[in-house]
Amino acid sequence: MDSKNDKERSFIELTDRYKEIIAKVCYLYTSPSVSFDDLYQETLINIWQGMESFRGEAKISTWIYRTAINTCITWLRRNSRHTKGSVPLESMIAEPADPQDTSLAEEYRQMYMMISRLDPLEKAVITLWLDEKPYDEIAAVTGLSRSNVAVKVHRIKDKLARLAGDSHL
Amino acid sequence: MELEELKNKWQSLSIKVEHLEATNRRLAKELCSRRASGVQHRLARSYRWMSMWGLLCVLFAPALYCVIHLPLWLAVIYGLFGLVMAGAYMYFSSYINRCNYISLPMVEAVEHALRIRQLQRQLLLFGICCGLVVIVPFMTLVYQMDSHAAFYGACIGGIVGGIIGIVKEVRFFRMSRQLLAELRSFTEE
Repeated sequence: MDSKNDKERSFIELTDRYKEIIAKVCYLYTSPSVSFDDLYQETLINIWQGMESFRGEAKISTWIYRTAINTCITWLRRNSRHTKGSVPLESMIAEPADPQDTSLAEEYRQMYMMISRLDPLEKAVITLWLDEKPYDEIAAVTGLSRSNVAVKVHRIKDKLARLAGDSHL
Repeated sequence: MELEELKNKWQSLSIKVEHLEATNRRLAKELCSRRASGVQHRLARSYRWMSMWGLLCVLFAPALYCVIHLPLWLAVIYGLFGLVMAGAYMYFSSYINRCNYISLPMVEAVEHALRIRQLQRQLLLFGICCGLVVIVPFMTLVYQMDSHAAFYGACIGGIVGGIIGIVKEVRFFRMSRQLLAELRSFTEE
């Protein structure tokens, strides 16, 4: 019973500490047919199941990223009705520091629309790149080789630049 | 929106997370009482159950000597066979559960799943060889006994046991194939 209580305590501590990372990743994969709550809970279940077998081979944040991304991508593959529409971002985003800054929500929507047009693996790579993770860590999380990550980042940047250009037309 | 601007916006993005702490606590309570699921855990659980059958052999070994009056050495070999197979299945079960695939890089996960299939085949071969060491002298001695009923009973038991064993092994191999297919589909784009 003590070990179960210990595990419960460690799990709560871990998920509270990294809830921002998990939430950001799940937010990115949310769509009209894939709910944030489903992705978040599924990620937590996988973290619970993976806790005992985690031997500290990587940083905990890397492990959390990997679990969250793999969970979201697996979930999308199993429930592949995802569409690229809009979601109620306002309910998920915290209030901006400056209440007068009404353009912020619109900019977040634009950012989300651009990233949502990427495929699941590209989303994973760009999430980590946007969080300024080094290529080695992106490779460790996604399972790609370092050189493959560099090529992917370059292609994703081109794709996003094209999408940004199209959205201004 | 330029890429640097995108990066700045992403880093300043703040998701509402206060309510998530309540979700974390609620799920922690639920998961404490939840059984393992997923192909990986079902496969490990199946092998754990198989190890119980091995332990049953240890319990039946004295009966071979005391009730059926087979030689002591055969009863000892039978008991040892059960013990060895129980240990092998328990070890294999823990090996299967050693890695949580969802939190591994996919290449390592696929390698682990391939290794599981390889070990499955080796365990099956090992079990068959060890089983023959017990079954051949057992059937020979039972045949040499005066009781035909005992011999026919042993044959029927062997056939039924063989069928059950084949069905189980086919199911286990199907589960490991399913596990590998799920992991491989993840790496396909």
